[in-house]
Amino acid sequence: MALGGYMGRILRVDLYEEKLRVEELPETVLRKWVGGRGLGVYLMLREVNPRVDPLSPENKVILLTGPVTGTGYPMSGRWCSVTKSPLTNTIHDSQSGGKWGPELKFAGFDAVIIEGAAEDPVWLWIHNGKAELRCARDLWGKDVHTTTDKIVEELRDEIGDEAKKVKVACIGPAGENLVRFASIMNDKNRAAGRGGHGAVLGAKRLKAVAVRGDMRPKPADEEAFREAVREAMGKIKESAVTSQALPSYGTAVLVNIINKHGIYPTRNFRTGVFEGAEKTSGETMAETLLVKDMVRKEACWGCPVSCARYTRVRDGPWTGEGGGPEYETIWAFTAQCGVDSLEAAAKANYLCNELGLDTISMGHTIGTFMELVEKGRVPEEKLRGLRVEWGSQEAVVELTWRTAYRSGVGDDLAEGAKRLAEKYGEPDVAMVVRGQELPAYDPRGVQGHGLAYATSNRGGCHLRAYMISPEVLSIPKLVDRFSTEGKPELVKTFQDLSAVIDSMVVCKFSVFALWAEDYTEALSSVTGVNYTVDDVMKIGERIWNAERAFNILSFGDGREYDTLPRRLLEEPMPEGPAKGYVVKLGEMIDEYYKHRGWIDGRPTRERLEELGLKWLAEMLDEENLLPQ
Amino acid sequence: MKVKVSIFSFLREKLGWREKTVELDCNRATLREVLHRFPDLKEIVVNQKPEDFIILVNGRNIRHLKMLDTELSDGDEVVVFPPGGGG
Repeated sequence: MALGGYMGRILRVDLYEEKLRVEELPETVLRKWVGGRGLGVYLMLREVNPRVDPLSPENKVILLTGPVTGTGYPMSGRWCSVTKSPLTNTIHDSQSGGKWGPELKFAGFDAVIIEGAAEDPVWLWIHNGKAELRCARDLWGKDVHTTTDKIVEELRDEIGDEAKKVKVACIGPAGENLVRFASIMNDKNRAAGRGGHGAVLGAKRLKAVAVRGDMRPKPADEEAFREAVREAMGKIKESAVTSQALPSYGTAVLVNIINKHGIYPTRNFRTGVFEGAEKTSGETMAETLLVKDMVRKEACWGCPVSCARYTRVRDGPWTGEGGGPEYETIWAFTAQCGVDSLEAAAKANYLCNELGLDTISMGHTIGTFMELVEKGRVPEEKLRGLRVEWGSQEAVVELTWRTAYRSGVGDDLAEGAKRLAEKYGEPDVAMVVRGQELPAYDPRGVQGHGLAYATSNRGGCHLRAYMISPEVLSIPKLVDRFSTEGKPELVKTFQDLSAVIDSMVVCKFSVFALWAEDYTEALSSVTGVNYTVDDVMKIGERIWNAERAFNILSFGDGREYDTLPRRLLEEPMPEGPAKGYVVKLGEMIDEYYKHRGWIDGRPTRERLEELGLKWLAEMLDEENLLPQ
Repeated sequence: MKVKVSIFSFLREKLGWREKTVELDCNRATLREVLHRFPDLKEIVVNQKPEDFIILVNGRNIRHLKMLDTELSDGDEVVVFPPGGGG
């Protein structure tokens, strides 16, 4: 009997040969890897040499959904992309909301594997179980919104009004120009942002994937699944975060919370207190830029929370409108750059949506550049008359443009903070882990979050293990944020659980209301496999270890990479509630390895075999990469 | 002594203020005593469940201090957030 929840088919697209093939996945694979991130990691390990150049045709991009996608399970209107990242050289998954994910399933497929590279630009059209490649020469060079509109327009001639229901994922000029943090955008304003998946599609000359269909996934045990949905909905309604804070203020509700804890990274992580926080907060946005009528429309498919924002800047130099800004985006274009204008941040956000850029890496990298300029490392002529200094709104908006088109110094910014800082002779200025720019929490005042950053398989990321939840937000319960005690085990638990959530392809914010038992119930009833909570956590651990193995094979990942920028380890926070603290990584890392069953950041043969990954242990052993 | 109290998100909508500074005729006072001066806020925070809110004194969560018995002194800042989250 086939497992429930899945469409049971994946689409393989060979761009080199222009051949499409429909395949089935063995049930044993789905049981072990679930879907989304987990399935993507498994397929990458099986099909791609981890040492491949991420921008070469030998790399693949896999677009995936999960078993609950399109079923009506709350907070599951999402999809994810898995590839080897051109930013980090790690295995990398990037998650996005909107409506594209469920529509891919309605079009008949659980996932799309994209391999090779096209000679001329193409786009992919998937419609009720059928798929075809089409010429994208006219779309190449176009921004995300124009591309989306043009595809819908083209399809209108063929399918009439049904074209209104077509969902488009595409890249913008940044992806075409191989910006290392170019995003894949979908539904115009939603982004699989982090890690440069858009650049990988750009290198393959695949401009867009449009989907539409009337097929529906069917849960294995409909009654039990309905009950799981009902229970989850109840908990989401009970939680003040998912029923009140996120719907009213979006993620930007965090600006003041994080700033008042003294961990809001300011001017490239020099301090954790930003004087312009109130002016750029979620509260201010709700009173000024937010277009309330658009909130429901911008929500992810079937989501009861609707945290996505839509804003409009009516006057001043930064007029425009569009999706966002989220908490992370606000931070990246304001505090990180010392800018106190919500309007400038919104404008930069609109540009990122249209040009196809990750807002976190973009704003973060501009902050890095501002510090390099301040240090006198950047020759004046490189700036072409632009004043680049902390607080410059013009610099934030203009450098976003230049980066997307690799124009002038934008060519350097397009390489990301790590390569930028190295090029200008100040590698320590880059606030990165494994080459990915850190997001909006200074870990000096949240020790567990620091460990989570350091050990993140996809590089600097807050969502591998969102330790802000227990260390700041008291969810599920408050732990002492300045203490290292018990943090390694807690980080491991959050990492493993998050890997499962990303593989079911459910929103991370559901964790504010749900926990492992809830996900287990949903997964069991939708698939028909009788999982226990232990099984589910083991799936998460398997994925985490498989990702680490990919990285070891890719670039020799291990202890030397499980670290943080020197600033966070050695320079005490200069002011505010976290004053005097550094991240005490040394107190946590060995205990973390003990909980993982690793030696020096690498899984042992025993650990891998316990997780059913003997074949991966053999792969590592062949290269002498297993710890002795 | 003077203590500044700031409130956020829907507390602002409900109570119609953002920030107030209160002057007390003493050198030390507990958070509970300070909140007596804000009946509207006290009604919501103390009389319901204080543990549902994120209450900081100078950036420190009162759960790691002495909850409502936390002692305040001149120049301290109290902030009260309703539950929040994001990422």
